[in-house]
Amino acid sequence: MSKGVVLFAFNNKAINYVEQAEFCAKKIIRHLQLPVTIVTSDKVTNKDLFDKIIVIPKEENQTRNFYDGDQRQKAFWNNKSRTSAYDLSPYNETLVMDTDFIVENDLLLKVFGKGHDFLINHEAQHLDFQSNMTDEMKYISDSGIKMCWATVFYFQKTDRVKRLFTLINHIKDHWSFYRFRYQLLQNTYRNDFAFAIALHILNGHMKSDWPIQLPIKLFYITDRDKIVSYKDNTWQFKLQGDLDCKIKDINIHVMNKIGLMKVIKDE
Amino acid sequence: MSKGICLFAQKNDRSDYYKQAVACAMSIKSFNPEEKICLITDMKIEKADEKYFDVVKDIPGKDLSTNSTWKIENRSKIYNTSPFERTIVLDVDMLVLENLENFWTLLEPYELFYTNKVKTYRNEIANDDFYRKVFVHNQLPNVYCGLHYFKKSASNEKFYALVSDIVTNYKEYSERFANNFKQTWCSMDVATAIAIKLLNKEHQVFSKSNVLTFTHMKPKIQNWKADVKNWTAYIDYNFNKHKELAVGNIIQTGIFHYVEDNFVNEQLMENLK
Repeated sequence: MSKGVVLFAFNNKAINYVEQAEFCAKKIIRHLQLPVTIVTSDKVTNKDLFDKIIVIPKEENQTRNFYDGDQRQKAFWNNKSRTSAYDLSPYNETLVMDTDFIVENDLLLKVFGKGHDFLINHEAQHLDFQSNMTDEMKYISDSGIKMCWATVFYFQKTDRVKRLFTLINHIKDHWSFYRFRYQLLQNTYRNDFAFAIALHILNGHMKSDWPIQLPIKLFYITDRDKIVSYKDNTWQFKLQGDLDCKIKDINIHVMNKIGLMKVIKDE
Repeated sequence: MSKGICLFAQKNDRSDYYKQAVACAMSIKSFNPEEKICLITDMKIEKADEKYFDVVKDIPGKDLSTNSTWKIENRSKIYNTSPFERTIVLDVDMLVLENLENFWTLLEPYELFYTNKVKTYRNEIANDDFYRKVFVHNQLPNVYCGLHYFKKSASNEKFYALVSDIVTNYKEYSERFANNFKQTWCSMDVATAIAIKLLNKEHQVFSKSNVLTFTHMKPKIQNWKADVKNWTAYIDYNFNKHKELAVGNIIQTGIFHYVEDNFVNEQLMENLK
């Protein structure tokens, strides 16, 4: 059974996602020793880092704000191709992760060979354990269903997972309907929501024990938290509310993509 | 041993308990056609609705609720009025959305059972402190009479005699046992909680599992950030012809306590048929 990681990277004027993917791939190779495939429409400089480079067209049809603390930049957000992960992955067992998810240990290796067909986190934890963000993101909306984090997920190519991705693609293609149906306030398509809705539907619109969570805690900082430094696997952050925070050897979802780009440049 | 479900509906000016009792009975019969239902009421049953009730009984004795608008005091008579040896009591503003065989099996070991935790529509155990200050401040057991169960027994005879006494003399009992946070009107939940505390039955009447419970739709316990007064106005819901109830796109199972009177409308009654 082949195993590997798939990364999706589409540059915009604010973020060089391919550079992020290269940084991410180095971490994956170091800690997980897995082949990495990049799916992109942009030029890849460090081709040696990747097992495969899959080129697909860019869909520039929605924008969002990208923050670095208080600084803001508006740019295209090309997040819709992730729903093609099932069709594009060259592996039997695949981990998909955001390029701003930084692997700092080998915990994710525990997903392989356990017989699970799909694993994803329903919960994420802000590094500031007192932050309201974690509570606010428990559901996809105030009255909505349980949240799901498409930041990192694992799948095997099975009939059930194929059906799941077919459904996610359907939800993406009919986003305005599902957004209304699930009481989502924002217009923007978001993979987290589409995955949550699809899993909810596939489970008969009820709470279910499928899928279970990944064997990692999904720690994150937001784009309003600042990166102070990164050296020798140690991250230092200045979290909102001026809270200093330092972590080492912990996987972290760095939502402050602009700040992450600065770190990568310094590397 | 005979078993069945008792519903209690006394005419009042606030809610259409008759319609709610019919809807509740229809939902029970939908998923449990063999289940026996007894309605204890002071209202006349319409010919078309007779088929939903196996036994109809008058509220016996003196009316304990002459000075009350909520009219719940006579509910303390359910124990003596029930024709069954084993009785599940449900509030009439509830719908049963599944077969209750599992409930009967799980209730078998209990002589007396009360719900002490309720669920949200998202199937999570609710934090109900907002509505339960009188229980929290007086360290009363967190009783919900909405779903309870009893067997006919000498011990329960005494228990319900005490509940009746508390209901009849609520002011005195409340001042003595619920003085830290006062509730001026008598509720069956508070009266029953005082009785359980006085007879030291807390270890006998509650379940540690999360199965013997119901979904409670009071808005402040749904984990919503919005300040919601009526859940029916805040969230989408649909009861279809297949008798599936979806609230916020989540299919509901078990026992659903809808609380708000406008939930029962003509369309719902039609789909319950």
